[in-house]
Amino acid sequence: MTALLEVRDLVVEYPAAAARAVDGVSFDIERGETFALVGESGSGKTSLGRAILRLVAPAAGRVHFDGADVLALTGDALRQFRRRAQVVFQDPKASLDPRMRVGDIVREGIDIHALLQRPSGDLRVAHLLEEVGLSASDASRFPHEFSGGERQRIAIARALAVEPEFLVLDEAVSALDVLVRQQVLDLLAELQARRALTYLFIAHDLAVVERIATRVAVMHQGRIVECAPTHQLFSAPASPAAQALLAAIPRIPW
Amino acid sequence: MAANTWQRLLADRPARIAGGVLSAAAIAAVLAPWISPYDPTLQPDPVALRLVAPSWHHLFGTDPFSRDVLSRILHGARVSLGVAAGAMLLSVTLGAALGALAAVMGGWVDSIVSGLVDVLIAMPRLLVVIALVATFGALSPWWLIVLIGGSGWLTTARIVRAEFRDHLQREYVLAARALGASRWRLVWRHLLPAVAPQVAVAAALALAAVIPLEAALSFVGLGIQPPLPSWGNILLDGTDYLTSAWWLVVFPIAAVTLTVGSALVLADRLRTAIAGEERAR
Repeated sequence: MTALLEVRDLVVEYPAAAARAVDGVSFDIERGETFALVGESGSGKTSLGRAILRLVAPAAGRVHFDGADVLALTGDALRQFRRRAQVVFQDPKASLDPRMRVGDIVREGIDIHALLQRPSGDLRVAHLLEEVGLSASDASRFPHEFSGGERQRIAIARALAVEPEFLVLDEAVSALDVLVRQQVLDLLAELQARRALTYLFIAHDLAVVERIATRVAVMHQGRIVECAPTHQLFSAPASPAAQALLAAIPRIPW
Repeated sequence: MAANTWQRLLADRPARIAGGVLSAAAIAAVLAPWISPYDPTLQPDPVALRLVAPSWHHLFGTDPFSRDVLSRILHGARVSLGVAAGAMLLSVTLGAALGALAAVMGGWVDSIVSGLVDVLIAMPRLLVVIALVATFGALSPWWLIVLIGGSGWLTTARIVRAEFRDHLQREYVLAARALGASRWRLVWRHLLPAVAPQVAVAAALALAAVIPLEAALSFVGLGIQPPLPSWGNILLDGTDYLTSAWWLVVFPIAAVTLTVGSALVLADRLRTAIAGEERAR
């Protein structure tokens, strides 16, 4: 079986900055795994995630999703890809439209893809909210009425509404405090098991990915400098960038 | 629940007063034919009733042709505010549409719209309008709306383009794009609602700019033509009598000042409400 996602020599440039945010990156993500992409801020990991989802246009390289060339998709095929690949962003304040009710936010994907009509759509939204640990009645409230962790759950419900197979979690827990972060990580693990999801988990902090990632890629200045199974990277980091990230994790000395 | 921009505005006393003044002016303008004490063009007795000072019979006095100034101000509101409202709607709609188009389409569409704005914004509006009127001769109120409105869309286009581009980078718009939202869905569901308060500010400022513009054109004789009254040409009729008949000058100026001032207050309070909401989020 081929990998779900194949990225080859991907380059993302920002003409205004005259710099390469992503400078020739290649990797595969297998079905069902959690592939972590870790690097300090400015290393290009967010640009990479967005390029894979075609939210920014890469300057060069290839992205294949389930065998199809993502960068060449148009029309219906692109719509289909948008259903199958979803994203959760870092800042749950900025990622939810403040003028829309939670129910409308969660059902936006259902409406865009005309998956369900009104009454069954509402029911679906209620189920989704409960699945992520909120209550059905939250649909009529506005995002600002929720805490950061709850907002991130809303963003997860919105992504799940279109029944995706692949989720880009772009620093999805970085803005949350430690306790809430663990709860959201637990939810993500639970959802992955139940829905057979594949995750691209982007983080700037190795500690976050230790428990959930199957493999970890370390990014530095637009390149992947090291890619290894999680336990291997944690026990024997080869690159200076990985060593620096590991050293940044606070450990209790025994 | 925290209030949104519109609820904040409704709770604000200066905004309510300014809105009340503008509403009252608009209602007076609409009802002018029924609430005016006299026919605004009737010259009952150009000798005996010429330049009568304000009294119970003529609350705002009479003009050199014995016409009732209050009736002329009320009918003038119909013309002045009608032209102003029409021109404001035209310029704001045009500006919002072009600004949105430039931001969403990008590429050469953006280059053309932005280039046009940059060139036209350097031209002084009053002079351009005067030059056009001088070329085409005296205009009907409808053409005046087209001319004033058509020359006023630049700032709105700039504001809407900048706001749209800002919001297009925000994560909630990226999330909608990732869900497969079309450009038009982004515009209608996310961007326009986000920018609506800013457009309302632009509309209030456009109104404040357009009322004196019409008055100025009519005052120099290039706008609304007599005997049809407008605040500008009522003032024009009064200029020869500045020292002897103050009421010819004071009332039309008061009408312009009150409406323009209210529009400016509304724009200012709306800005405050927007800032308050941004902070609350």
